[in-house]
Amino acid sequence: MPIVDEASLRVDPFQGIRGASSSAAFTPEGAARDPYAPIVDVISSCSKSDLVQRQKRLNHAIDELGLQFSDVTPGRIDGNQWRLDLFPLSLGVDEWQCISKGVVQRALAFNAYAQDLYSEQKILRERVIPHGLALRDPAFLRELSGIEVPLGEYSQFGAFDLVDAGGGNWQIVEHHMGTPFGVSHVLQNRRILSQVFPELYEALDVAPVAGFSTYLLEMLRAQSPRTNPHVLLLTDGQPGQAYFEEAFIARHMGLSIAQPGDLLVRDSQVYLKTIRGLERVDVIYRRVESSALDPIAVPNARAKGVPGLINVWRKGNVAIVNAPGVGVTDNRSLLRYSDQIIKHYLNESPLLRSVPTYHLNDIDQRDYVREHMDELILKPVQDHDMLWQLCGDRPVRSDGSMARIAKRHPEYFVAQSIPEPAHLPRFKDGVFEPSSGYLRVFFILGKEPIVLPGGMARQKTSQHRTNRLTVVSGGLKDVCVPDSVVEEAAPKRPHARSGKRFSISSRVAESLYWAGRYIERAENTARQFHTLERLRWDQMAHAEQRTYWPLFQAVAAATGQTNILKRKKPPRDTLAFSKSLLLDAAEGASVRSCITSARYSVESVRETISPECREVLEDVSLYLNQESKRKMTRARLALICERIVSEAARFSGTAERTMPHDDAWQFFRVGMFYERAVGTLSVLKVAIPRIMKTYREVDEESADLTALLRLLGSLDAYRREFRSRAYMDRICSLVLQGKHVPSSVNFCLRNLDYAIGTLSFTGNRPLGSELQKEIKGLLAVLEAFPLAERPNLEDDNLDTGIFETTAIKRPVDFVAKEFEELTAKVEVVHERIEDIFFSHQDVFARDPVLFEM
Amino acid sequence: MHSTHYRYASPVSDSINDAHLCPVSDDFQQCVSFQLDFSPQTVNVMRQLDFYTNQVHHFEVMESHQLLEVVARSEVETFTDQRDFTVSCPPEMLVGLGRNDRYYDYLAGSQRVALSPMIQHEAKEIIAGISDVRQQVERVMGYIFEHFEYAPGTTHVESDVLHVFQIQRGVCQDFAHVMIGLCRSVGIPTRYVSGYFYVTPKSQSTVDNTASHAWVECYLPNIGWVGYDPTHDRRTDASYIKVAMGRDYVDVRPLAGTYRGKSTVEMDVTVSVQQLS
Repeated sequence: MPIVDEASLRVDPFQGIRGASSSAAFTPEGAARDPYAPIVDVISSCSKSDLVQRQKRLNHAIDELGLQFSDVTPGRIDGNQWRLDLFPLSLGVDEWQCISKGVVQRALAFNAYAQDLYSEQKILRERVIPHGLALRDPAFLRELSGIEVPLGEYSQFGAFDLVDAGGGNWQIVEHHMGTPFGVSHVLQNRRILSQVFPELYEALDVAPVAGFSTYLLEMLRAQSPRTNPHVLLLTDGQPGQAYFEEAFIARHMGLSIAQPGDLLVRDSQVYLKTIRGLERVDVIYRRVESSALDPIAVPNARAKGVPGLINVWRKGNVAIVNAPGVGVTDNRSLLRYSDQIIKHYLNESPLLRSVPTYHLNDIDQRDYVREHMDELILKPVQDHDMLWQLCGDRPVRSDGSMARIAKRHPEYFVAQSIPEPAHLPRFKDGVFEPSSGYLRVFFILGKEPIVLPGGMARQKTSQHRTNRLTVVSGGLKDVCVPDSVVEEAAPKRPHARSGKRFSISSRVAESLYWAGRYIERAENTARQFHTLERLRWDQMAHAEQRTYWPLFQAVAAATGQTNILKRKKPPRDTLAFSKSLLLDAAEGASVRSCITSARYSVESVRETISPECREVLEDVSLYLNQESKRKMTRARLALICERIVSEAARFSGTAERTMPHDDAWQFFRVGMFYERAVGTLSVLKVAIPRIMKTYREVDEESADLTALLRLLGSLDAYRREFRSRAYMDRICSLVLQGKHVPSSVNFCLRNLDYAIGTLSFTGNRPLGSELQKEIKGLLAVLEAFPLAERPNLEDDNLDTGIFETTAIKRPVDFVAKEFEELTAKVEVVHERIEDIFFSHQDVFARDPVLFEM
Repeated sequence: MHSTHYRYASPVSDSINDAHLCPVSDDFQQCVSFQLDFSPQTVNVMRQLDFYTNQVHHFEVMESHQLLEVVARSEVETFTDQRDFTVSCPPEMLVGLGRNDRYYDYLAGSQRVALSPMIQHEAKEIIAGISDVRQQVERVMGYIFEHFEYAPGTTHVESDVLHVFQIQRGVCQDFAHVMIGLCRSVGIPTRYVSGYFYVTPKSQSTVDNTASHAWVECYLPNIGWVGYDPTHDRRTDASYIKVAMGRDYVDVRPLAGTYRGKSTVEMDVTVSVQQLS
């Protein structure tokens, strides 16, 4: 019998690209090059179906993660564009050393350039570069000159884009020294590919990338002489890829995120508005454009910024990373002079060249560009918003508009001749095909410069993208650097000392408070409608409908539908009404609106929410969007209600399990309990007086009262407590004063009290103790609520119903008034929470007003 | 004396300001003394030089206040400009300036003065046939004086040059911006100057001793930087006191700041210029 060698039958997955010219992975003879040999071996040993399976798993994992990166746009959840390839980019020891030395050299030289430009401008005086390039730069903010930047390092954390022009000849395409983007992609790509394809990493001996966020944090902390500096990330909070990355790294570094409105300057210090008042800030990791930082120092009508911040920085009272004004180092018209700049400042010969870059303002270069335009990529000198203002126009997606603007303003444009990059295999539709791309490499300076041993490889694009805080996220590759290089040069840094925790900002607390309220409200509404729907309204007799009408009105009132309150008679059918209160996005109190609002609240404080929690919310949101497009039936409405109730529970459970139970979490709970208390009260307030009017003491089970208990999710609790049929005063007693009933006002207020109480021992001084006293006062009021005297449970007559406790023996108007008053008292708690934690210093809560004359 | 009263309808706090109020010292004037007083007295004043070597005072008033008074008192000695204004100023000598970084900022468009094709076209028409830079500048100034109406209230501090060009009206700040736009368009380095103008009781002028003023300085070959006041169609002299200069108004805003509070601010500025000797 002939022995079939399985391996010989297996098709080489790299067939067809092995011998291709200009491959980075293979020699012209078809052998794998050194750094790629283990990868090629591992992949060749896999069957095609195995590879396809792995790519699927990769896509699946990225899609799950991509949810975290997707845009939140009203009514739409963006498709995930992020795709990670199976085949990584791999670098040899020599190649990496050359890149990493070149990166540090260039970073140092361009930092020196920034420092020079903002002080003596020797480079212009000595005519090393044409002065127009520097002075015309829209990122050159003259208002920021003459400021002493620590170590002269304007960019302490930056990145460069490189391209392999063949044979490991890496050249620089772009600088990202101002606001480097993509670290989150680097960390996630590695994590996911190594989970899906662990064999690759077993074979490769790859340097880990996970430590980079720690290095970044240590660098940030080192900016301040204080032992436990308060570091935070400053962003404008605009939804988009950039914000998601910020939330990601902030969570990884344990930093809080602030928006300009959260900060204020007093007495030449920067403070964060927190739930405990103002807390001093020592280091700001800046992700807001320099020109939008401080409207007094840098006039910019469109940005609110933090007035006075630049002056605090000038005085050295806060460190800002990267330094404001650093954008000049990203000026593309300087790339042509990078060799001269490196020589001028470091007196060294350049290790990495820039790709040929032509400035359109130079007549000779412009002529060249005109003749070779089809081989060149047109780019503005800066992706700075000011540039488009100066041009009076901004490009749209098509290539034509940029060329048109460049014709009128050649001084603001360059064209780059990007060498055809060496090819790498890319897995697509079951086969490997050649593809080419750029490599982004990240650095951190400071006392010991670090270049992240890894990076992000992305596909080459034919057009320039004007938003540099995004990446074309299709076709990303992990980047592997040999571990041996890094071990030799492991940075020696002292252990960071940890100290007291910093308070969460008022904005974060407020957002989470509202998230809690909205989720609770959605759950309440959904459960209540579910209960009502189960009564099968459409099949009721008219008289029966009248009996239940007060309950319906109560639910409507709780969702702010006051017009229903005025109606005397119930409508024949309630389907349309139920549908609108569940799914109508335009209806402010609908379940769908509540979920949307909760989602927005959570979105603005992403760094404090666990990804798992966010996923639950995304799921519900997606689900509701889909459902709202379908034809609605009673059965479907009931299903939706059930799903919302269980998703709300899933969210609370997920939050409980995955989020640290810190102050942020407590505010989420405060919101939830407050909303629940108010929800219960608003149902009672409407239902009880109305039921009282039609209430007859009859022997049979009062169906509407049972339904009321069900509405409030307390039927079981009632049965357990009283073992009797539903009586009105017992219900009131239970849902107002019941200590163990989750829907009861008493229960909610006590939990709220507890949540607020925890703030006093997480911080270094008591907080909210006044409010706690007030809540205790409120609990006493509740206990003494006149229409709900508790029956004596020892009484033998309890179950007979002949006892005097069957109905509330008070005039209806009196009862209505009592409920109104109680509701008003509970609503004061919300105002107090706002005053104490969110806008405790009313005057700080306002945006600063700008003026000039 | 330049005194500014900020009046608020209700108390405000956290007032943070940058002021360009201290006169410069150069070949034609000497700032003998300068004093900046505040009420309420503020603890935080910081002084620094800006990119154009103007003095900037940064001050913060944190406490709650309803009235803030900022009084700048300066004593300035001005000198007569002794330069020879009869020498020729050939436009060819401006050509090289484009390659000199010291003139770059005064030749390029700036935040309030965008160099549009329209302004460029206008400028070329105005100076057509004139082959001396000094005469070109004077013609531009004359053009503004003839065609633009001095009309307070028609523009505001944020008006840009194109708007002023369209409505042909404005105040000294707008005229200075127009002149900057026209001169820079034809390659004459021009900068914005803010300051005061001393009016003798008998002279006729559009502004008086109770307001701050704005004019421009043009760079003339063979002579140097020369001040021109398009509001009064005259070259500046010893009755002009220069406080700050820059690319345009934005660089030298006398006072710019923020405050927190729910009220709007009403600002009275009083300037008094007196001749001491």
